[in-house]
Amino acid sequence: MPRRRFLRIFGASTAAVAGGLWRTARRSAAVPANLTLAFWNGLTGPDGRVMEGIVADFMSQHPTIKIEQQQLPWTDFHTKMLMSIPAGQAPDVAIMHTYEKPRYVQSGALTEFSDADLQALGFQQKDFAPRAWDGGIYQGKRYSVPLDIHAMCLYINNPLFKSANLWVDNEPKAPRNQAEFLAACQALTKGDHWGVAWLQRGVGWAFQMLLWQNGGDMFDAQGEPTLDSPAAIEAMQFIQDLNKKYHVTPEGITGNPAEAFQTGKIGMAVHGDWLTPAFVAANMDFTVVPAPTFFKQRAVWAGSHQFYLPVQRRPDSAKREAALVFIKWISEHSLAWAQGGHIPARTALTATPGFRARKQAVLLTDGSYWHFMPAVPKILVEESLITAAQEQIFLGRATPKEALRSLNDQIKRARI
Amino acid sequence: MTPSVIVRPIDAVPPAARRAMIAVQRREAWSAYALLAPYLVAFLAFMVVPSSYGLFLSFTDFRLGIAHPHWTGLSNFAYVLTDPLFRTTVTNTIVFVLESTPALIVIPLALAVVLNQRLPFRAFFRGAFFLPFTLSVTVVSICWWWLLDPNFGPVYFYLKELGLHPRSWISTPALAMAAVVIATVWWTAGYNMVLFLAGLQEIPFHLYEAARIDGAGGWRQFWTVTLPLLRPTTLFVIVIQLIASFQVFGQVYVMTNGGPGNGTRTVIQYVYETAFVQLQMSEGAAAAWVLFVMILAFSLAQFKLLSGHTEY
Amino acid sequence: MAVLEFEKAGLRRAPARFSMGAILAVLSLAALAAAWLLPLAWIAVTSLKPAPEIIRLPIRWLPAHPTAHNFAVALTTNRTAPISRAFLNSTIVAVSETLLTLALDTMAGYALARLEFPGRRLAFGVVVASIMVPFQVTLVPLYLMFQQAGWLNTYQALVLPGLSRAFGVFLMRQFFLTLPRDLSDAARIDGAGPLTVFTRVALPLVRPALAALGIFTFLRSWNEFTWPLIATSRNDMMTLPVALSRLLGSFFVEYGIVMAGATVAALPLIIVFFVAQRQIIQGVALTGMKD
Repeated sequence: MPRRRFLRIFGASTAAVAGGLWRTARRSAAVPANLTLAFWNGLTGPDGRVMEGIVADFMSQHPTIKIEQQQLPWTDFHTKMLMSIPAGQAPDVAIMHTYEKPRYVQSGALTEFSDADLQALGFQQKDFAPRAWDGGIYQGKRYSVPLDIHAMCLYINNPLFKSANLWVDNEPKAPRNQAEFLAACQALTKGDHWGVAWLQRGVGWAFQMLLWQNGGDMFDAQGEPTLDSPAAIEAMQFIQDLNKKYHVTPEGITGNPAEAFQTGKIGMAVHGDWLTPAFVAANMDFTVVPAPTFFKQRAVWAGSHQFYLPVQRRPDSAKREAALVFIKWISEHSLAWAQGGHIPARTALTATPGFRARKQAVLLTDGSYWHFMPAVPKILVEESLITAAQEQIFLGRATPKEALRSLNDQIKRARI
Repeated sequence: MTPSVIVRPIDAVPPAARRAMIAVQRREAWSAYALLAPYLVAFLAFMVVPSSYGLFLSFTDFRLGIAHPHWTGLSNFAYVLTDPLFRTTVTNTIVFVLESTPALIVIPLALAVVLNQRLPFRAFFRGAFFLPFTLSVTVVSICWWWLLDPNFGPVYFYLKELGLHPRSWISTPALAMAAVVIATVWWTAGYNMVLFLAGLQEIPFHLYEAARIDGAGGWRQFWTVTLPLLRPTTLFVIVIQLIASFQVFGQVYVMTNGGPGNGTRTVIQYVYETAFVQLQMSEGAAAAWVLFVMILAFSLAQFKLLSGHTEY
Repeated sequence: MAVLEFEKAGLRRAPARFSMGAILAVLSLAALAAAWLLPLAWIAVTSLKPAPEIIRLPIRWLPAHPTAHNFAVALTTNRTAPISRAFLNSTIVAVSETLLTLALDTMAGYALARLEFPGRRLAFGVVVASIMVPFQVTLVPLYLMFQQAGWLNTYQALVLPGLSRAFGVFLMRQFFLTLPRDLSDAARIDGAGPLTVFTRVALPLVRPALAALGIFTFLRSWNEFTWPLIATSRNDMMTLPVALSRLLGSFFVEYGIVMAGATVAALPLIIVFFVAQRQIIQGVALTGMKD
């Protein structure tokens, strides 16, 4: 090859390679070297373990970003958040739901996601389930972006269903309404087996679902509680009747939801889909089906985990950028997150065979009945007080009417 | 030569020496201030200022993030005192005090009396009973929470083996309170025992001898010699025990979190939750002051009642 | 100055006769002491068991397949406050608070006991009165003050508030009052200033009281729960009692891990206690004595 031509080719390719390297170097410079993000959430259940694994994966693929995850039970979580943010000690990224926005916005605790942020994330409305996407907006501003949707479901203990003759065509005969539910409970309750463990230790989410199914509401248009309405009392009475009247649940307060069902002595459980990984890990033979309609209209308690970027006393754009990288990555890998029992908010992922094989995939059929918790400032007060109120009822220290009335008064008195 | 008038020492001192004396006094005063200052700074900064600020807050509508709180008079106190939950916590706290205090007097006293004798392995026993006091409230709570676990704990297991079927303490308010009391007694009995032991050591041996010579047996000696002479220690133990009991929080928070159904929620937990969970800080500050007034009134009443004579 | 001296007291009594009563007493005490320590044994044993063994009935005391897994998780978890980090925090806080308390309270106690100055009675009165004030009235304001200063989640926030307690000042003052004046008078005549008298003469004489106050303060600081619960929100700044309660909340039914955390939290002070039992108990007894 003539020398001049060789030199020309050599020069051009060198320039091309150098130019490519130069661009790559610039892009890497855009990701800051070695920073740490504080990531808080309330995922203390079995799904929390899954999130730990996902975060570890993220860190192994992004050696320059270290994530310090802190998981607190939800009530403690909100306390620490609402105290830390004004103190300038906010985490860099957090996961919450959709209903906390009024309370947090009231405290000036949340930053908005700008259009530029959404572009950096590559998030577009068409890629997400509408409820999850819209759930990020409050008073016309976007304060969060979606991760998943989770819903209440019915867990069925297969062996117990089989032995109670509730098995048809290789599938459990899942109850769809109150009458079928009670019949199933009674068929399942024998010996030391119980029909259902109504999972009292928690924030009374199942009660909320029954309330909505009975046509009632938790809060009125002014954000004041309506938890002592006749619909609410009737819903709570039904829960209590399961124990006192029909005797299909164990006496006393069940300590821990997962544990009760995991003993294998309970036929059914009504709880959120996030318990699925625990039962899978325990090698239980169980089925997930949509929750029954206990009262006059169908409604399914549901929620959506969303990513938030709290207000920082000293905003750090490098950290915010890294947080967006983090959020984007998790969202793109939310099929792995589905191991936690949830439904990814990305509609493309829910159509994949990988997701369809999951136990909670069946809950997608409930899409039009999903009922989120109300976004009012006092919702957090309700969450912190409902457990004690329910316990009063199950202990027999108060009738549903009395306990709900005093709970309602307590929430009204709260000066938020 | 006896002086015919009383002469003040300072008058008897010639002026030069008097100036020296004043200089010495001033030096002493300044040294005192120097020695006292560090503690006083801490005292003012972390006791006086916060207490006053807290009192001020309890008369306002302060909220986190709000720049200018307004004066609201007694509104927060009304809120607290009319809150059914507050009344419940006061009742629970009183129940706790009444259930734990006698046990925390009688048991340590009994142990101290037994351990005051010359027995082999005495030091080991003393150590064993005192040991729980070195643990933190969380360790103590976890210990008993697990020991009493209705499903997997030994206590319920062995009771069931014996044919009894006790109710789960997690779902029974009275038993939950009893569990907290038992944990508390186990935790602090050793400390009171050591205080009693110290008091017992003060009692002169010859008094016991005298009683024995008079024909008094062991039990009689206890009533006529030990108890009366132990009175100052006993009073001290009772007072600190009661004040501490009113402030119970950690073991309830960890073992039962105030449940079931608010059955064990105490006043301090009410203060904590009102201020730091519901973020109603001015109401929480007011509740803390109500508690203070309660403890103060109680202590004063106690002093009046129990002071009496403390002659030796 | 009375000091708890078991051995001397013993010698004053009648020579030891192991009567029937004594043997009975020892046996019952032994049974009671064993029962007393049982709860600790139970959590230690549980921490060594793998999860299936823990929830298996009937109860078995000794682990069939002991494992160190629970300890590994409790010490290194990043889901919640890791016990190893909390241990470090507690050590730093307790040691600092003890040293500072000893310094401040000894100086203040000496000044109030031995030095004449205007305002002495007032100062003492105010300090004593503050013993009545429960620290809970300072919880909310202290939190707000530290938040304003940007001192939440710091060691200062954990160490400083406890320095305002009057108990130590009261104790040290009592002790200084019981010291004979001759030595200090002699030093004064030799021309020593008040501060020299304090450091050279008085201080060495109150060593037992220093030990007592030091032990008492260390124990109290180490086991403090309520204030650290409020003052720290970051996992890496929590002290042991708070971190352990978070561990319980996080690993609720993973009993082995919770018990491992509790065992690790309890062990150091238990070891210290065994080593220095006599001094610790003497010190504690001293804090209750009214001379």
